[in-house]
Amino acid sequence: MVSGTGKVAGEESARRDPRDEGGKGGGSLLGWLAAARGYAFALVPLAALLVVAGTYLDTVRTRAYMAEIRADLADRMDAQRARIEGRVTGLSLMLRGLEAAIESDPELSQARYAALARNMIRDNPEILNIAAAPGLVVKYVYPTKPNAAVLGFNYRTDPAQLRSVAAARKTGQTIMAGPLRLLQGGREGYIIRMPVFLHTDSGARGQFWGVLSLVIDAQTFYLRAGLVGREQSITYAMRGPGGTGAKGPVFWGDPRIFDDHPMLQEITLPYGSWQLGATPAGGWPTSAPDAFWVRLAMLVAGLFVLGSAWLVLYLMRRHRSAREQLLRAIGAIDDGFALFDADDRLVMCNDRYRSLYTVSSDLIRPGVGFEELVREGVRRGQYPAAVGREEEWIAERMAAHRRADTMVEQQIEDGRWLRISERRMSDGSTVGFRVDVTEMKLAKDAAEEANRAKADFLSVLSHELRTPLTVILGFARFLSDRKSSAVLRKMDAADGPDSGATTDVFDSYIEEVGARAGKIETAGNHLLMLINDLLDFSKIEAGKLQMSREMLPLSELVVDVLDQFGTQAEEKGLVLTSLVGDEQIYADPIRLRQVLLNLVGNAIKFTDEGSITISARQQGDRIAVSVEDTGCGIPAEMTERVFREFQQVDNSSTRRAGGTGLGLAIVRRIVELHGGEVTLQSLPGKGSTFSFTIPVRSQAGASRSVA
Amino acid sequence: MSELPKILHVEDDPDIREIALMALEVVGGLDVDQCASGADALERAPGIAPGLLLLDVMMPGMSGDETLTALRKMPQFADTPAIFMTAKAQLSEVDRLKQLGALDVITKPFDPMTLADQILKIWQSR
Repeated sequence: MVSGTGKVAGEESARRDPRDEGGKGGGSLLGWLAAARGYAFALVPLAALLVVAGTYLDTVRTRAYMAEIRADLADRMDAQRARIEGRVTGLSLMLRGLEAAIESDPELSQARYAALARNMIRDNPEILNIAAAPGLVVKYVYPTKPNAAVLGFNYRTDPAQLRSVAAARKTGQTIMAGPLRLLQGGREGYIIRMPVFLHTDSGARGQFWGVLSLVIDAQTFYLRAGLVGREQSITYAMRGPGGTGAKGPVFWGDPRIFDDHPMLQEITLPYGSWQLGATPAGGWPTSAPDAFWVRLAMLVAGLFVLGSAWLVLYLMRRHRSAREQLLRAIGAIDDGFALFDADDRLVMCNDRYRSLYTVSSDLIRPGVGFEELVREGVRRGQYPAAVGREEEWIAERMAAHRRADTMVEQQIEDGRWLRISERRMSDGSTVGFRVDVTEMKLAKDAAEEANRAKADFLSVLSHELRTPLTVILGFARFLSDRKSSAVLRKMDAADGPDSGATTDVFDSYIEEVGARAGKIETAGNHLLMLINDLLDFSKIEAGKLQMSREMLPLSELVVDVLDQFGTQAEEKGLVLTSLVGDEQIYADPIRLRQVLLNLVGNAIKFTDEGSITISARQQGDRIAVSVEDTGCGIPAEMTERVFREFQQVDNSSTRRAGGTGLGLAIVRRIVELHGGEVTLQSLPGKGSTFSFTIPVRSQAGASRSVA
Repeated sequence: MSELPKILHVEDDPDIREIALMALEVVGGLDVDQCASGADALERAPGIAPGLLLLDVMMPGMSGDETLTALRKMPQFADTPAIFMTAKAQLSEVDRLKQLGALDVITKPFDPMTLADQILKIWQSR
């Protein structure tokens, strides 16, 4: 399978936007920006929503603030209106007092009038003068001095004044005229006019007496009404002079106020009204004073939300990207991969897994139970090994699956072999691999078969060689032993061994034959040894060497082996010594003996003078046995080679000593089969020490055999 | 050596028969009769009436273990001690032959000077 083309079942492999490298961009700013661009589909609507929500909140807040401002303005304006009305009403009521005095005494004396008017003026500094005009001719005025010119003034001679006087008379109402330019000093002022009627005894309105006029200084009035003279957070304007209300022109304050959405209130006069308009000083605010900070806070909050959303998207995409990468990798694996959840249901697998199990590939889909797959596979004949013992096989397979810690090999219906390895994970799910090991297995089987065939061949060959060797060695033995020949025994019995010249010649011939037969025997024994070595080695190679280990007294075995070499050592003048104590060794007696024979035999072979010493000692959990000689030694570069099969130190030594070159290789294999190892320490010209270790008996393994 | 009963030696190779005969009769002083095949042995054994069987394993026609199995069917040889001689020296082969009811197995090549002693030892440790 080409890398990267694999697909994983159970997962929608989402298409990846090629522009989006956010996952890879990692920490670089450009990468982040690119990632943010990739999230525009989600972030732009979110940003729009945040802007709309922010704007709405701001509007609501501004409206609430405006409503608050208006309510506050309305309250204070109400107070202002009340103050103005209070002033006007107060002044009117003073005229009422004067009216009452006149009603009771229409022919009021000047002194009495002055007394009444003085009282009124004393408490009301805005009043410039109070005049009374019975029959519309001014007869009384207070204060008299600056106003003396008014006395005798006939309203009928002044059309402008007559109009308001007439109106007062006609309606019977008190009228507040002005603002107007006053006769006295050209100042601006107001004139409150009250018509006075004399009442009849029954209380009904009677004869018209005249008019009372109260002249007011406008500035003082405004001051007393609270319109000027103090810090104002509200700007007022009034319109409707003469009580004409909203219809009249602006007579006080900035006329533009009435164009700036003012709050309006009617100031009720004794007759008609003024309209009071008000706006906050400096005009209406467009937003709350803390709006900047609130908006900044909303902006920061919005950015925070956007940033968080971006971060979430970024992490999600990274997570997805990592997951997809993992899935692609699983898809690209050349071996079958499957993941089963804690309930043993398939979570995912790759294409390779499905293609290995062609017979049941239609069942392999996420959610399918493992046992169902196995059962249906068995029913469809997917597993040759299960045929005829289906239930048993399924039980074994399920048990191995549940253990999930073993590697098993399984043959499937098309003859291929799969190696199955399953592992349980900490969350209870099971991950499984299927590796096609058909070729490996066939090669291994072929190699094993070849090894077996070789061993069988050598076994037959050895038998075939041993049979003629039996004859050769048998006859050679008899030839070298005079007593065993029936003929020679008869001759010896008849003549005695030394009976004549002919016999002497014959005897020396027989002796020569015997000596040569001895050489045949030696060579035959050597040949037999080679055959035995070859056979042992082929058995070890084929894994056919059987071992039966038991506890042995090492010392006995060593002494026995040394005895066997006694004659040979004596001939060469060598001293054989055992320093072995009472060590027990856990080994196969035949094979351990073979090891010692080989090592001691080698030592004797390569030692011309000196000694050979066998010693043993406990070394941790092992027994170490050493065979030390004083021979020719082995060069350092050869120490590893001597343990390899068919290797010898050099050709000349092969000639001198003979041998197959298998002895030490067999020694090493046998020791390794016991779980130990062989080492060599040597100084050329000084001698060699071969050591091997054998583990002491472990509690677990009573015997170890290699089949 | 007289404590050993009469031996029936079955061996197809004439040279080995001769060596064995010399080893047992001349060197060991034993009473030995020889047969060249399993069939020959089955035919002549009742007449020879041996007390110990010495059988080669690999023989043409009838192998040593087949010969022993056939002899065991004869009532008079049902319990006669037997020793195999074989050139197959593997332990597994030795075990197999012992399971057939042999006292022991002697591997070839044998030393003709000590063969009789070897047999006596096996007989004594029976």
